[in-house]
Amino acid sequence: MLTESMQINSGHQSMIHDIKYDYYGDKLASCGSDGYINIYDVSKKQQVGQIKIRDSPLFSLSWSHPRFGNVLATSSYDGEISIFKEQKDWMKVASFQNEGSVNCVQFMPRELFLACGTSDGFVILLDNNKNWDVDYKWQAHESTIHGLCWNYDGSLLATCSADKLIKIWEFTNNNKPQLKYTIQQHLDVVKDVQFHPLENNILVSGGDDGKLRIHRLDDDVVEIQLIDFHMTIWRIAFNMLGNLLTINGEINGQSQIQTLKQEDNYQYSQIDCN
Amino acid sequence: MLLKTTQGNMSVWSNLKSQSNLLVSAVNDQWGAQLQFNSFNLGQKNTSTSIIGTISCKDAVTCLAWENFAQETYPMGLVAAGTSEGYVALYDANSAINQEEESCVSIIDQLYEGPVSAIEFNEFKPNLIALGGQDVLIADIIKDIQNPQVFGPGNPNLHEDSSITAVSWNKKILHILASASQNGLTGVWDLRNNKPIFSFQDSSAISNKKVSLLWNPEIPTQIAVAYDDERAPELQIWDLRNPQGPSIVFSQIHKSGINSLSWCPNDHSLLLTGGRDGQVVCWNYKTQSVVSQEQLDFEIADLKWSKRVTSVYSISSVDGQTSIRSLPCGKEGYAPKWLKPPVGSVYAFDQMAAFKENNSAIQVYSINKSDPDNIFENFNAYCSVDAEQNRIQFEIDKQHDQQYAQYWKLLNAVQKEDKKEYLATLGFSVKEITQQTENYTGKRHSKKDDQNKKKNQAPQRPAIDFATITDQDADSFFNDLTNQSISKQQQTNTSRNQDVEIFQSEQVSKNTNWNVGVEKIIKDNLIVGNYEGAIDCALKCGRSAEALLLAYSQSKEIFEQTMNTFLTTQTDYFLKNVLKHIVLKHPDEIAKNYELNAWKECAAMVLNSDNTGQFHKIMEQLGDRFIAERKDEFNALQCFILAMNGEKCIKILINHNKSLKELTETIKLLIVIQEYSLQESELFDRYFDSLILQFANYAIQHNQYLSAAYALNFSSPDCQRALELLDLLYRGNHKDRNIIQKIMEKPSFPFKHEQIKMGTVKQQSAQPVHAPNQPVSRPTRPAVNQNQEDHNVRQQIQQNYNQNTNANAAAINNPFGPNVAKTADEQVPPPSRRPVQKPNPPVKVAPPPNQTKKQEAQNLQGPPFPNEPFRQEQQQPLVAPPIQPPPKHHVAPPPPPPQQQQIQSIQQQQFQPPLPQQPFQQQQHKSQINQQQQWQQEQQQQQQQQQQLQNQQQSFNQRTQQNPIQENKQQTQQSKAIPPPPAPQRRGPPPPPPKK
Repeated sequence: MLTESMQINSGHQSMIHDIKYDYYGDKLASCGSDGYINIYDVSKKQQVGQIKIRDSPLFSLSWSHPRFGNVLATSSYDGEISIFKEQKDWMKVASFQNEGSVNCVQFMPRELFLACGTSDGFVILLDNNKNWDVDYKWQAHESTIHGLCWNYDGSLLATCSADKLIKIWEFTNNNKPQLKYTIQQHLDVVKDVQFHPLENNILVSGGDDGKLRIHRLDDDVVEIQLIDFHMTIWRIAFNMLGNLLTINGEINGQSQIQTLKQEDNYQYSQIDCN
Repeated sequence: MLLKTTQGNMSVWSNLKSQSNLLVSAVNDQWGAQLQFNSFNLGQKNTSTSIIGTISCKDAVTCLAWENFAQETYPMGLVAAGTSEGYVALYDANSAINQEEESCVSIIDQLYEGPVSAIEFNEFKPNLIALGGQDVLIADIIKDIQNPQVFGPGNPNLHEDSSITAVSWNKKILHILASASQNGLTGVWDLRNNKPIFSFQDSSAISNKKVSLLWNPEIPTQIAVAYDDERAPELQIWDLRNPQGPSIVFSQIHKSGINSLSWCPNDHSLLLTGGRDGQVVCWNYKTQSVVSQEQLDFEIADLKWSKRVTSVYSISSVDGQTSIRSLPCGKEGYAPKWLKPPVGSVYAFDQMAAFKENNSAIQVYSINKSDPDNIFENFNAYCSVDAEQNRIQFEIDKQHDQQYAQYWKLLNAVQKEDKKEYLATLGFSVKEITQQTENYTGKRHSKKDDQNKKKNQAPQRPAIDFATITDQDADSFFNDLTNQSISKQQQTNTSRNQDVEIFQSEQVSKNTNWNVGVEKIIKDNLIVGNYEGAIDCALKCGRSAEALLLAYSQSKEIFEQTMNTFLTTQTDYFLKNVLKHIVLKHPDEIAKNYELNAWKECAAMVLNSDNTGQFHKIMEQLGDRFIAERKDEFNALQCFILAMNGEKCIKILINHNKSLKELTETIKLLIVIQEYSLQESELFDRYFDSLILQFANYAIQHNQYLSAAYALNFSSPDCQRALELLDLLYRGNHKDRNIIQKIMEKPSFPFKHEQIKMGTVKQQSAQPVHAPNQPVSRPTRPAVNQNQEDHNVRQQIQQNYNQNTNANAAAINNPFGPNVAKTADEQVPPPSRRPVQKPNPPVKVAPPPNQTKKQEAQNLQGPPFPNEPFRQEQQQPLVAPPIQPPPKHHVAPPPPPPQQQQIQSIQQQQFQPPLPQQPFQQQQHKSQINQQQQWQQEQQQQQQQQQQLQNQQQSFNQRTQQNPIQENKQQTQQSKAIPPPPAPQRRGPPPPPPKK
């Protein structure tokens, strides 16, 4: 089903930590330990932009919705959250300095409202409407936040942490985020959470315990599927409409990528590819 | 960062996956020795751990180890404690935690005279326990845990008389063991051959000091050694391949002796050392740098990384306090491994990109299309057909499913608006029935039929005007009456087998002698002029024809009365319920009572008799009856199709989405039904949109973006999600993008543009490499407006020039027109920052092309030529507009002239420098035409190359093209006021008020 089509020379000196396509899939941005963001034009197969922040590793990237133009947010190990906009070149629009490492950033869908998860367990919300001042900052977890994800309509934010918990925060207008669910299923560090791109109440998670869990958020959280991959699950990615799901893991220093496809009732089954 | 505190002057972490936050600490104080099982939850605010189990020990604990062993017997593993009295005690962690009385599993004694100073389980074979004391020993507990086998590592003894301070199993090769002694000597043993294979001694080391020792978990030839030496508190990394000296030396940080060393299990680059000076230092041996350095206010006796909790370690002080801490992170350059994703992937349309740690290239994968049962291929073919009638024909030819084939036949009849088509579809052949009638009566009836035909598409008879009826008409009326009743009766008998009395079988007087019986009374009445009496008698004796003839000769009133009496006194079901209503022109009454099984007869008759335009209403009633009485959706849907009631059709079809195949068939039907539906219906739009979205989702999931775009093009302009998807498909980077952009008009951007604000950039050093010098401008409007402004001016001039209804059409059709921009600005509320629901859809901003086309067509009557260049602006994305109908579809109607002009001007625009200013437009008119012709010739060649694309384009444009035709049709139909009425204007927003 998946066939290798081309390779992009990333141009990074060391590890890549995140890659993201923009809204229309034309541009691919990557960031890594060398502190660079490289931007490629996928059709032309060439690098079209580069941003250097500091020497600190960059962990996460997020493209904004195209109604704001080309806007990229990134976060670094040394705690800087930066927002760039492409004018003639990429220029920094705003930045925020956190005490410790910021491991994940994601724009709320359709908004310039950035959620960031830190190593000390805080979630920081930065708001364009407040000139990128901190809208809210709270201790969401007691330990490192490894991943966060907005749901499709931006009403829920899921965070996952080294404290083995997944928390889901609800956003209602003009109120501070409120904890709606806590998921305690994982036996170890939860490395990533992803909402289904079409279903506001389907959430997948994975982490060091090697288990991919699919949850349905109703009155309670119901675990609807569990697949054991016997490897550290680092990243989970849905395709555009959620019928494919890719698990990125590591076992004994070897990276592994496995793809699942959606069956009925949001059950996923492994497909043979790669 | 301090997390939790507890007691103990040494500790060891659990290696259990599920119990990674367990820590055993050894408390040696004046009350004796105790092992404490500490559990902690980082999620809780308390600063101390909770003790979940304790073990009392007789003697002071001098070293500790904890490993998983024989999971079935010891689910939480074994804790091994070396004591000051030279023996080792093995405890079952599980029974200790469960507070069972005896948790001690075994005592391995008679090992040393002095204390046991070092202990370590072999990770590969945890039954092997390495021990350090006066010398190195290995205890094997595999056979008998009570009486383990104890043996030495081999001869000769490298350490001689010096006491052992550390033992360490190689992390990669299970039979290699290293040991260190107080004299500063480090030895490496091969247990397979039972002999030492390597040793080194730090020349600067002095005796009677502790040496810590650990193998590199990654590189099996490297070993880290730390010295508790005040003069040279060094951390050295030796590589056995280079025995001359240490490969790496870390010094100058600790002020006093290093007495504890831990190699990070979660990031093998990191080593932690603790010293008598109270410093905790985290080293990165790969970069040979200090990652973190922390000064504590006590002498450190022991420290250990947690085996499974990343960034967490325990530190014990000499005076018996143990704390759990985490590595301060984020300050320095090196990011620990557990924060750095080594692998990841991301999707966009039909591709996925992925990176892996050991590869600096990003691998892009492409995902193939899938097309189960060729559903999407067929759907694309269907959509690329260019007009409704051709689509219907396409489906009639291709449709294999009987049920759907029937629907398509009905739609075909609806579309052809021809009575014969209707009757044929319903299963009646006019020719056949006429033939039968002729056979019976011996008279020809085809003439009348021809008349009907000449009146063309008038599927009904001329109404009989009772006041002015001619003899001839009256004659044919009765003939018809007779014929119909006969033919229908035959049908009834054969098809329905319904037991009704026949007209002729009533008691008709056979008397031909008019001088006796009732005939005489009738005659007498006629003689005296009492016609009413004669009529009554004639009716009563069954001479109905005579009665009606008489009545007809009198007055309209009497005739109607007689007819009424005649019809109501009938006992014959058919006469009473059908014929009566036909004659009395109450077709709706027929539908109320007609036998549902024979609804097609009913439909046909209503079609014949209808002169009040009620056909659709009656079909709707029939359909309703099917639902109400039978729950028969198949027949009901047929009725609703004939009724051209989109809403009722979709109420049934909305459930036809159980499979992709069914859903596709439904969408195909609805595309045509939508076109012919008589009423606008919000419900229809809503349902249809939801089906389209469902289909589009399926299509996108199969990477069939063209199919998705085709379907979405039929959605209503109110459906924000559809607009968004269409935009995404048009602009998105996928395999179908080129074709979609060539055959579709560019959809307007379905979101409100917004400007990003400048924040305060605090770090001056943090500038992007390529940061431009100019500051960020903060225009109040999106940048596109720059272009729009110019355009708006022209638009306005154009409107002034027109001063007719075109202004409206142009405004609404131009996606970048001023009105549209205005509505977008005004009506879209700024999305709330954290909307619970998705942001309000922008209000009908330039609806997708197909929905406006009818409107456009209506307003398009004879637009003055100078308008054209402006009209085309909205059509710019048309790359290869069709001029000739594509050869593939021979039935395609030629584009109407106005369209053609438009297309020419489009082509012209594409190859021309920017348009001249509007005020001079009239002067330009002629030259434009000339140029146009030139361009046209040039275009011909190009067009031929792009024939294939044109076909598809045409299908998208077909609405525009056929609209003028349809409008003609509408006009003729309206003038005739005959069923079925034309499809009304629907879909497409009302025109905004003209700009003043």
